[in-house]
This record gives sequence, C-alpha cells and structure tokens, in this order.
Amino acid sequence: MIREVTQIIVRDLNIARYSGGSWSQGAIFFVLFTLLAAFALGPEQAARANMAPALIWLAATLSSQLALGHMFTGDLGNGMLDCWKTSNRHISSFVIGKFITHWALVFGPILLMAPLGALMLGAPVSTLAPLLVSLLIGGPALILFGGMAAALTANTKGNGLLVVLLSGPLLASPLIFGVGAVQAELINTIDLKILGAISLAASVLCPIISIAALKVHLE
Amino acid sequence: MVRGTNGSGKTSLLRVLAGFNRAKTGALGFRFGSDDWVDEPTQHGLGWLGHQNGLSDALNSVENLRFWLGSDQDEADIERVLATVEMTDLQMQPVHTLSAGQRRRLGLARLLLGNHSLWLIDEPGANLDRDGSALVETLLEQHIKKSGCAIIASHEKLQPDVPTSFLTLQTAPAS
Repeated sequence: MIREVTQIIVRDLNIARYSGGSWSQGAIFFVLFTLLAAFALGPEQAARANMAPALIWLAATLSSQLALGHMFTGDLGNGMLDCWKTSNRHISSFVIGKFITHWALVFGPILLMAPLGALMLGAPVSTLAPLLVSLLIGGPALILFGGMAAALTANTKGNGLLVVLLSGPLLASPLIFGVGAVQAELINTIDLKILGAISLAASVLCPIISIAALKVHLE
Repeated sequence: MVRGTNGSGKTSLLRVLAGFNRAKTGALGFRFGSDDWVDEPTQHGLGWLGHQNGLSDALNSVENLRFWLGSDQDEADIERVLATVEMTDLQMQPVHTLSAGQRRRLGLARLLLGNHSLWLIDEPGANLDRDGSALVETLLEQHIKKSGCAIIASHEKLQPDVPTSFLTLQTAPAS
C-alpha cells in the first residue's frame, strides 16, 4: 500500500516537472490576489492590517481550487486507472497519493507565499506565525474538499467550474474557522481545534467518497 | 478470441470479465492452476490492455514503465520488454510525440511487465502495422506456452499458432 502511494507521488511529481509549471497557477493567483487587494484597500495601514488574515485565507481558499479540475481526469481518460485496478493495486492508494501530491504541489507554494502576502497587506509580523499555523492545519481540508469534487466530476469534460461550484459551500467552514483562529500574536485555540477537526473529518470522508466516485466512473 | 461486429458487445464483455461492470445475469468464475474457483481474479491480478494504453503523455517510455514495475522487478526488466516490442530506440521520447502504433507497442510492453497469467486485451492490433500484428501473435504464442491464457476481443484476423476457441457475438435485434 505505502509502495503504491509512493509510486503515484513519484510519478505525479515527474509529470509536474514536465508540465511547464501549470501546477504553480494556484500560487501565482494567490500572489496576484493579495497584491491587488493591497492596492484596493489603499495606503491606510491600520485598516489593511485588520483585514490581512481574512484576505490571506480567502486567497488561499480560492487559489487552492484552481488546478483541481485535472486532478483525476487524465488518469481516467488515458486508461491508467483501468490498468491500476486490474493489476490488483488499490484505488485507495491511488487516491491518497493524488491528495498528498496535490497538497504538496498546490498548497505548498501557497504556504511559502503566505507570509509575503500578509506583509504586503500590512499585517504585523506577530500575526505571521498564527496565520501559518492555521493554514497548515486548515489547508488539507481545502485540498480534500476540492479533490473530492474533482473525483465526483472526473468524467465530465471541462469540469473546472463544476469543481468550484461543488466544493464552494464546503469551503465556507474551514474559511470561517481559519480566519477566526488568527488573532494578533496569539492563536484562538477553540477555532483552531474546530479547524483541525474539519481537516481530520475531511481526511476520512473525502478519500472514501472519491474512491467510490472513481469506481463508478470506471464502469 | 471474441469476435463480432462493431457494437456487438466485445468491449462490454471484457469489462465485465475484468470486474469493472457487473453482469445483469449469470455468474463469473476464475480458476488459477489448481486453486479454487474465485469470483474475481483480484489476488492474482490480470493483464489489461483496453482501447487506451494507460500511459502518461508527459513521461517517456522508461518513466512510464518504471511506474508499473513490480516490487521484485528492476530496470533490466524495462529494457527487456522495450526490446521485445522494438521500442528501445525511442525510449527517451515523451509519449505524446509517439505515433498511435508506437504507443500501442508501449501498451503491450506494460502488459508484458505485469507478468500476469490472464490477459484481457481489447483490439490488440489497433493502430499496429503488419510487423506489429506479427509481434502480437508472437507475444500471444509465448504467453500461452508459459501456461498463460488470453481473452482477446478483435475484429482482425489474428492467427496465433496456439489452441484457440472462438466466440462470435451478434448484435441483439432492436426491440
């Protein structure tokens, strides 16, 4: 099982290497969003600083959903998943490998850019640590919800918008508690615990639903 | 060898046998060697080659095949199967630059790498030239001689020199 998950991760990182950087569109959108938000809010430092965590979380939520449309369509379309299943490998390891790779490729760069974005929005340095902690804990939920939507729509052409429409309502809860968890210099632990609970629940439910959806697509 | 006209259900039959779809009626049983009958060949796995070859376009032949290596196989096995399907010269080219016939050869290489005793192949000769069809026949002969078995859906005249039983499907009359 672990060997199969590693195989998927290694192969997908390899494919990403040849993809001409299409995996980075989430991070680029993230930077653009925060940059434009900084312009939109104007030069008044205090107002921007208050809004910075909410804007960073909003940018992370939206940009994490960008590249998810193609998450499963390729392997379904080229027959790879057919071969994977018939050669007595597990669809569960395929799905888990996919989620891990997407978290690393899509959300990793967003995490790296988040401090920069927060500083651009005028957030005090003391909020950077709470912000990063909340993104680390809430990030998996964003990818899991989006990935589940991608699996459900994997047999539909041009499913990008459909993914966002499906995952959108689910994304509200990590967004609310993610923003709530970030307070200046300290972390709101109750919100952070709820955020963690959402991520944990998503990490159990979303793969199960994705596996079932992919099995239906294989029929 | 499953024969039949377009739309007669060759692919559907193979997909039921492979366990993707459930048949509405009837039962399915597999038996490997002297083992008991099983509903699905899950523990042994089977070699599947459908219309699609199961290859990633962005990767080259070696990277594609490396992904399918079993835990007891190594790079030498990749070289061996690539040589068998005569694709050694093109092994570093990304799959999206290969022709449809060359991709089919790679699909066959992946099938060989799997080392399964039961093969299910949908149109093995699709897109292949005359040499390619001869290659498919040779591969089938070698596979059967190693006490393997293959169920093939094809409307081509493949004539491997092995004991073959034919099943001809006919389109159900419109009701």
